Amino acid sequence: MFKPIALLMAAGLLAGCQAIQEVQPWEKSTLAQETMKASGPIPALGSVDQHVYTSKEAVKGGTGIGGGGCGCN
Amino acid sequence: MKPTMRKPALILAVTGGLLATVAHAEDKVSFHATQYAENQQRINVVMGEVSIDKDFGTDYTVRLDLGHDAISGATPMWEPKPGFANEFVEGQQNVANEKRNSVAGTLIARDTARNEYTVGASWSSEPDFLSTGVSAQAQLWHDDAHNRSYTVGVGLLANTAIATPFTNKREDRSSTVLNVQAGINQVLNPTSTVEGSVYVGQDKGYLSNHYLKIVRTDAFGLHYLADEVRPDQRNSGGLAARWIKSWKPGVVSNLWYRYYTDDWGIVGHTVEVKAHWDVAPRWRLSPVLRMHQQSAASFYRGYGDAVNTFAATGLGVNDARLGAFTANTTALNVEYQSSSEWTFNTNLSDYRQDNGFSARWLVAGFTYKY
Repeated sequence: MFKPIALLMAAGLLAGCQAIQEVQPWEKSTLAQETMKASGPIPALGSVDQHVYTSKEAVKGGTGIGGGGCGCN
Repeated sequence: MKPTMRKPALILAVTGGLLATVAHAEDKVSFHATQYAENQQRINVVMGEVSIDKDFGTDYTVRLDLGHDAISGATPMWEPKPGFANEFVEGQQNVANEKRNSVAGTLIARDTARNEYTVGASWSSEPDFLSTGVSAQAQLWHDDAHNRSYTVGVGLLANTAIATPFTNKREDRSSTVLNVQAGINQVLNPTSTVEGSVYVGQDKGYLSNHYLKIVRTDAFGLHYLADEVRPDQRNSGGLAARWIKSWKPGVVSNLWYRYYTDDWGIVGHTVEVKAHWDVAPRWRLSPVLRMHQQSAASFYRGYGDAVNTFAATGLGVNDARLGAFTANTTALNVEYQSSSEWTFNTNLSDYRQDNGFSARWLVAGFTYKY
């Protein structure tokens, strides 16, 4: 189940990367929305979820890279 | 640093400031309470968390998280089989009502190029476990238009498994956890971004669960209970990728994949699909689907396996968290923005492993921006 999803995602990312546009700062109103952040509009939900997953699964890591693409701050 | 500010940078500074006003300039306080319950009358947890975000000018942000958990219930454990000597069956052991308190603080500083430097510290304490940590991260912009950034971060945790009358060890045992990760974030177009990262980790020290027992077999074939034994080091690593796309105003998808591997023999794949949908002017729905699959540690045997005991020496665990399983999470968050300052939300998550374990948690809270 995971291999097709991973392949699909990799294909999508490659296709997306080939279509990178030079986005100007004044075109970033959508990217600046809180829903476009990795942690979403309510980061507390993610921290609760991670709390559960790290206590019930053996896998950890890969969730800590922050930053967003918009450079709004 | 450039001696003079070129026009694109000036425009960026001005526009970036406006965007910051729209999206991030508010200081905020949030409170969320969580009720977590497992099936088969196992663990129940009530959690409360307060988060405070405060900007100091445009160059500094401080974030403070305070948490409190109350844990009760029971956990799987071997117990003597009634009427049989030297035989054991899976039972449950009550967990003493435990309280956990945690504090985490983060300081973000930004330079004139708007690169971000983050330092953090964390502390959590419960009667049988103490954890303290420090972290540092840098996010560096590749270009003046801020369309690509590189992130590198490192975190170090020092843990102490505190001895109590109920733990396997009579003295405290310590361990450390080191994590390093590096990533790249790229704006693809005005409505989507992509992020890729690699991460490695090393856990060292006493990594066993200081409550759990296993059944060993002696030279005469007799069974007896002994402390579970894990390796004293665990090296791990993996890859993660995220793609966020706004399909139209008010409809955003967030797709995340993670690959994990370690030298205990565990390989994991995790996919999470999240969406944010503004269904009405003040209402937002955020459904989540998450699928996780992991293989078992090489020294794991399940309680229900045909062979669930271990030799007199060597590594061995029955902890289902180190077993092979697939887990699915479905969740829905409902968000209501009553004013520009106040947002209320409630979230229900349902988590099911294919080994029979399941859990549900309900989160309710608010965010106040000022």
